Amino acid sequence: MTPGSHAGGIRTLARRPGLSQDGWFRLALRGVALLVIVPILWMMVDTFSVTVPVWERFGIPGFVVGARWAPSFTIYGALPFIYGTILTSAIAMLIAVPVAVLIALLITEILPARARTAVAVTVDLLAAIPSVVYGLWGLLVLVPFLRPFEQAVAGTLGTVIPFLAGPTPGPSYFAAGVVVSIMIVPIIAALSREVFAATPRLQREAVRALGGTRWDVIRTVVLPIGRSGVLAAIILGLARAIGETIAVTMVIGNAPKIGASIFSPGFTLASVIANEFNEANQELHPEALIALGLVLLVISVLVNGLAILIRGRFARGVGRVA
Amino acid sequence: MTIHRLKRLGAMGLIATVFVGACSGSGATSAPSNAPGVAPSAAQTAGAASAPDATTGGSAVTYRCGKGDGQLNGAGSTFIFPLLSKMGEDYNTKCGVKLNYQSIGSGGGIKQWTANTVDFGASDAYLKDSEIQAAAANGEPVEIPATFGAVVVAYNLQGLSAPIQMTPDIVAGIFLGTITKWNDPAIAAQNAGVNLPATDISVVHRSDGSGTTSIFTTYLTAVSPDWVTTVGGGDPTKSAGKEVEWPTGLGASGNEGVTQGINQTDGGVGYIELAYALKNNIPFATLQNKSGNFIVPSLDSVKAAADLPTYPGDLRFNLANTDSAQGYPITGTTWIIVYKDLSKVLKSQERAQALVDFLWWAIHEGQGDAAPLFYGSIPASLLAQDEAAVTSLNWGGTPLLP
Repeated sequence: MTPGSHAGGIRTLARRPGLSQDGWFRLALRGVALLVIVPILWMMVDTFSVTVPVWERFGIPGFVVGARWAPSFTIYGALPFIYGTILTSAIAMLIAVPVAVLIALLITEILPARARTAVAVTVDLLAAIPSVVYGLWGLLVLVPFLRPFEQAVAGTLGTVIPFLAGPTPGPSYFAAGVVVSIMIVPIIAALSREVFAATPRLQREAVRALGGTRWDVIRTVVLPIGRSGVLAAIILGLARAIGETIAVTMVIGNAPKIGASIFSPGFTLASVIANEFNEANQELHPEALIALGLVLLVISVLVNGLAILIRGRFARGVGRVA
Repeated sequence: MTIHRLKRLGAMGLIATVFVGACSGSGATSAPSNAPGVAPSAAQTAGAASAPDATTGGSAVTYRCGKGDGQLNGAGSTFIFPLLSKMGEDYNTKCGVKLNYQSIGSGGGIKQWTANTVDFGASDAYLKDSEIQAAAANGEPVEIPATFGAVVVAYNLQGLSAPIQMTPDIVAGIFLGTITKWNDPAIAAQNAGVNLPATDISVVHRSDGSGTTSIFTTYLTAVSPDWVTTVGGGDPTKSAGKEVEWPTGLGASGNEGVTQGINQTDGGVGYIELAYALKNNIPFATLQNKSGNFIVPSLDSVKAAADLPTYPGDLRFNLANTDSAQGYPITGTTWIIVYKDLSKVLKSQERAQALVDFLWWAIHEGQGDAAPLFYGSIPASLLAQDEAAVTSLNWGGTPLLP
């Protein structure tokens, strides 16, 4: 909005010598925007300059796709951690997205008003639990609880598909994926709920008036209109899944290798940094861990960029539907 | 938790008593005790609790309690941290000097000591030649063995009460992943009469760099050529250390993480500190040592392992796979590391005096804190050399201890 668009009288009232209030406000907003951008750029430049010896020694592709991580041999490859990060996030999203979207639909569309608040508050509470508590709970309760299931899968499907094969020591990519999925359900559910609740009443009633069922309302109005909002919720959840550190490190088994099965112990980018940085005294070890941080940063930026692209697409799609 | 509480309360009571004792006598003597060369006060010596081995050295031990700036800073080994914090508490009560110790790991401790940001470092490994070179600008180091600890092979096998006996080959086989079942013939051969289950062995190791890992892998490197070949690619400097490339198993952070990993899985096995295993009642294996005896890890067998007929002059020795007949073979040492000529690194002679006085106390009366916390104290055979090391500390050539 430009100042000229105001009615004349208001503009006169707002005018001060020097910058107008709008001008000051705009300046302040720009300053805040810079405050957000500067640390990110600073972080990128700084981490890159610290890690130059790593890139020089292994080359960017050599480091990123290197499959061996052996500080005692001064050999550093990021692939086991990239693989672990992607696999655990994928497992987490596979479980969390349907559950979260269904919970959001349940709350906004199905439940009576009173039960709605109770369920919504409970789900929101899940988001308030610190991740170290999730980690401990995962290690002490969930991992032993999942083990019989893992053994059953490994003993049946696993005999044919190596990706599901045993042994099942407990802590694994799978356990980490499950713990992270529980952590991101409330994030996705809470945002999706807001999105669904904002569906225009007119369109809901139009479908009902045409003899549509509740399911028809959800299918033809709530879901298509909410698509881009739900996608934004999913991306936020994914970002959390990729960056989650403490809970993952407690249940993933911390083995710097590419495990053949989802029941193998592994490592993620964030958890290996948390685990090894304190005592990283080998040649290039701290630098290599910081380089992993940079890889993580790049992955996060890519995921977010992709999300913006997809969301743009979806938003156009919604326009067509509406 | 409650037991810890009770113990702590008990300890506090003890400190309080010592404190009262020290106060009653120190009024007259505390003023001049800062000045160098003053005879140690009788009251302070009288307050000394008996330190089992240390005081049997012969001559009466006296403590001077140099105050310096009222505090001393150290950094390093996490292993020695519980002992140093108890020592710090006791020493503060006795002499009014506060000990600040950052338990950041041996490597970090050496770094800080090299950078001269702390008064002393503590490390579970003696300095490498390259590390001595790196610190050469600040002068020559003195490495003082301050305490000893063992690493045990802990396991979780349901329904088994007697400790399992292991040979070096069994330990190496388990951690190499070549022995995968508990009823493996190699284990069965050493445990006649024990009904070993056919459970899978599930190995847990440390995921963070650790002095415990260093002690354990130094032992494996000493006893198993296979370990050196597989893990180190034939290079023993790569098969032993704070972090190695594990051929098998889960990683877990800290002694408590490894213990949790072991307890969670029937058939779990891992290595943890003896002190931790004893405090938490975790079963561990009896190991065959170099002399062929099966040794139960205990404070006595740790002390036996550390009790060598001779020690090298610079006190850089390795106790892994000890020659001692009754010694436990996976024993490690924690060294306190200081510069010999403190005039180059510390800002005042008083501070240097305070440091030296603390070290003198730590290798004598301070050793009394070791056993209750399950640390091995300095054996009598080593004490004279430890004393000589502390006595060698000086201020521009002037000795700080008489």
